[in-house]
Amino acid sequence: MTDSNTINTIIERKHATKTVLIGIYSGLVTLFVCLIGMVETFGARDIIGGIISMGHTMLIIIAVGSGAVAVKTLREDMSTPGATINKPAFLVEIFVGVTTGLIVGATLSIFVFATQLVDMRSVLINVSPGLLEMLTLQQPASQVMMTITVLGSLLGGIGAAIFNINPRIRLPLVLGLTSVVSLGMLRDMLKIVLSREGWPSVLLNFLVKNQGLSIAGATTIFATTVALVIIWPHLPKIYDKTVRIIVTYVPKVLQFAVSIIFTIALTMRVFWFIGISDKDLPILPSCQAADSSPNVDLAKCISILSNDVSTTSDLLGTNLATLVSTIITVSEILVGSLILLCFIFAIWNIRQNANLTDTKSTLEDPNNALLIIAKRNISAFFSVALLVSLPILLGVFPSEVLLNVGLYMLMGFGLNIVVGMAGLLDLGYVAFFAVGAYSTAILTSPRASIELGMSFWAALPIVVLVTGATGLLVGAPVLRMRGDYLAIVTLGFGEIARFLFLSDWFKPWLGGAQGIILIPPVSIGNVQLIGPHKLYYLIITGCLIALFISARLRGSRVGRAWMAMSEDEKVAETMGINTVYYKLLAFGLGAMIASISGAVFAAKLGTIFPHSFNVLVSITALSLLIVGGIGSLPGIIVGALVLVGLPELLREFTEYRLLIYGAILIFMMLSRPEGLIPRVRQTRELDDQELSQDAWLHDKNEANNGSSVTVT
Amino acid sequence: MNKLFECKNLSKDFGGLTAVNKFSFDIEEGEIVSLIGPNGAGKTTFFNLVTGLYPASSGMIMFKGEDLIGLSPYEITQLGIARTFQAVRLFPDMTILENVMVGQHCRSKSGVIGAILQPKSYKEEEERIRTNAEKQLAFFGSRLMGFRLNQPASSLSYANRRRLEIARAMSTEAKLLLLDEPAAGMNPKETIEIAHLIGKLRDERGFTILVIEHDMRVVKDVSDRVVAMDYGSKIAEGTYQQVATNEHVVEAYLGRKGNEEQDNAN
Repeated sequence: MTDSNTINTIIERKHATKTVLIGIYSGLVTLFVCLIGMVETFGARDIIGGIISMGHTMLIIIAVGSGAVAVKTLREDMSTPGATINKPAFLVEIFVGVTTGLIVGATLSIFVFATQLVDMRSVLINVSPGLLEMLTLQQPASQVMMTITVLGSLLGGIGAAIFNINPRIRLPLVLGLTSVVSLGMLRDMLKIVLSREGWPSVLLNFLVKNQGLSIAGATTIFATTVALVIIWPHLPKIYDKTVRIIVTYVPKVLQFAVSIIFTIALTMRVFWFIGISDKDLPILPSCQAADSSPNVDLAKCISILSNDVSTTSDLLGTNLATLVSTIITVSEILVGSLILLCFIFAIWNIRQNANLTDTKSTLEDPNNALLIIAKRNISAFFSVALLVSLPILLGVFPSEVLLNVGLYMLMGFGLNIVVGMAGLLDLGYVAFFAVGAYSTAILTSPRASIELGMSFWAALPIVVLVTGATGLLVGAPVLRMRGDYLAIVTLGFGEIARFLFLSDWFKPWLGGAQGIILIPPVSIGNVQLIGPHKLYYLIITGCLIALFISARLRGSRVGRAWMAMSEDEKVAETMGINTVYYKLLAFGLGAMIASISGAVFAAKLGTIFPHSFNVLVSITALSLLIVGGIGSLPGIIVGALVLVGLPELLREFTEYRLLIYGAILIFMMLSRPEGLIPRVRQTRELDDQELSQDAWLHDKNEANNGSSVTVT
Repeated sequence: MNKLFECKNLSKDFGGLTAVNKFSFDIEEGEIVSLIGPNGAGKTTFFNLVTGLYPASSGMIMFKGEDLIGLSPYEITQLGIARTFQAVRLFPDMTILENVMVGQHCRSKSGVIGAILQPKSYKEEEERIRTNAEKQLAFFGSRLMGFRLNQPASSLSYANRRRLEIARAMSTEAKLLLLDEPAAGMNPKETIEIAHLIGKLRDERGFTILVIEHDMRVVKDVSDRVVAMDYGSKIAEGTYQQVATNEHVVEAYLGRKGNEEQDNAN
């Protein structure tokens, strides 16, 4: 690679081959998404009303992306040591981008041309007139071929040029466009949320136009994002200063009073919200009956809800007077304050544990200490306030999404104890979720075989204990197994559990395929928690408690024992750890947490069937851990939001949901294998200079070769 | 003097191979005993038998008057035997401090409830574990202290890993330390230091030590008594001088000249 970098050859042969290959791949991807009908389906929906549809956006992203990927690959290839020129020239990069874009455009135009010659529809049913109309922009096909090709090269060029923009401009630009596209995609959600009581209707009319965002709305979103990105690095400083001013100048009594008033106001608001009689929301039972899998068929709900939003908000107004008097009884305020205290306590403690380094510096500077405590309290308060007010702000349908996220998040916390902390790969985790749901159903439903008809709260401790015992039962036979073997065995246990619930043997008790019906909803005092916006509070309390328990356990003697066991079982045992006990403990605790999730699930749906508890639930729970970053608690939250929340929001595109989901998973694992929010320790380790100098981890035999280098 | 550790007619078969064959031997409190022998003589197997990693085929092992046969490794550790491994086996993703804190596991007892509610007794215990761990690390000077406390064990250099492993074993508050080739892979300077350290472990911390070592300088420096093994049996026992001149030992080593020269040079 010496003289090949001259102007004459412009680009080396192997780089050229790679560029063309990337172009062809991108072209194939374009064809693929066209042929499976994705482009047409997405084309029915506008990002910006009347101007650009999601289908077009998709094609644009592919073309621009191909250019960007080609340039990135080129740069990586050229930066290999020994090359004379480490960075390709600007023009070369543009040329590479244009080439890939050209190939994408050409592929598409050949496709368009081919559709004119042959009738492909008999085989490829998605090559509809609608698709062609989209691709040709309603012009005769023969004329647009050139346009498409040129457009493709242009977009490829833009993709290449992106890399040459100053990052300080590039970042806001890219993020701004991303936020416009994602909000455009979530237009329906935006519409549902903004048409609720409390949001100014001006906002809705301003942002959303019948098919997509309005031009003004899109511009505003773009501008806001850009502004946010620009001031983002300065925010901590501003926050610091504000807190400092509050701490120094506002008297303690006033601070205290304000926080108390806020807390009381928030509590009242939440109770008023929870207390709204469930009869006022007739839409919900139909939502529940729609589907009994963990993901209730929301597509149906959307249609029902969008009609009923006005009714709901009317009800909030008119029934106010009567409701307030009946609902806010002393007992509920007491219970509510307790829950709220739990929240504050939990978050405060977690933050305290997280900031060990901060605490050290506090000892040296008392002023600093005050500031840190104030910051901690403020952030705790606002996190709680935000969590508590989410369903009030967003309404029923987004709460449904959040509830499902919560159910999986709770399972994630439980599974994290088993997989993340104790290192036992469990693929049958759904069994505990199912046992939790079924035991709740049997204990509470008046129709169940034993006709106990207990209340949810009375049943919960029994459910937790029973499921914990099941955890031990499953754990006991697999004590000697590790890794892959354990995974296979637990996978089997998960399936066995489902078949037991389905079997004729247990039909008299568990109802076989018909499942158990008429599970009563959870009630607090005289308020029944019917509907996702109310159950949200239940699941979020569960999640916070699980988060708290996980955070506490991780830093404790038990957590250390688990971690040691997961890293080297034999050594852990010779260091005095009873691995049998700790394995069973992990299985038991994990099962207990899953059972709470199962109990809420049963109470949410009112009916449970065996087929709700298939292996996909275990896989989802495990993948949210992996995507979030295994062993990382914030990772579980983010993982649940991404893996459960996102597919829920994409429900309209049901056919392509799993395709997108799978593509995201593959991309994630390739580009960020350590997870979205990896455990602090892992990043630290990866960054460590010493590690690169020392290949100990990869070569344990070193100990036997006396020749190994030792550095102190 | 009372016998701290005693084993009689200890045997271990792996199928047809007898790795340890009717091995009898004892250690008195406060002794430093070296176990030597050519590769494959059964030294590490003997360690594994003592710590419960392998079940013994026959024979008995007594420690402080209790029979160790049939006990789990963690129970043996609790009784007061701790070991290091020939190929360093730390918990690489855990921090240096945590590695040593794990050693305190059998000397503490808080459980899940304690960890969640964190009563005063839990906090005191954690504090005690921590101080103890730091005390063990401080034994090695500044090498494992300071900013290193919260770094993952995998970030340490090879020699420091060996030291950390010894610190972890020390923190189990054992009476008897089993060190499996502590000087393997160390440079001459570090080897001298390790020999010095083994002496210090007994003199300052009161450990009784059984050490497997190939480096004869270390063996000569530290041992009160030397036991030589070959083919799973004891072939000689006595002071370094006695064992080094014992004809069985010389034969055992020189009989496999090709391999052993390297080992001795090491």
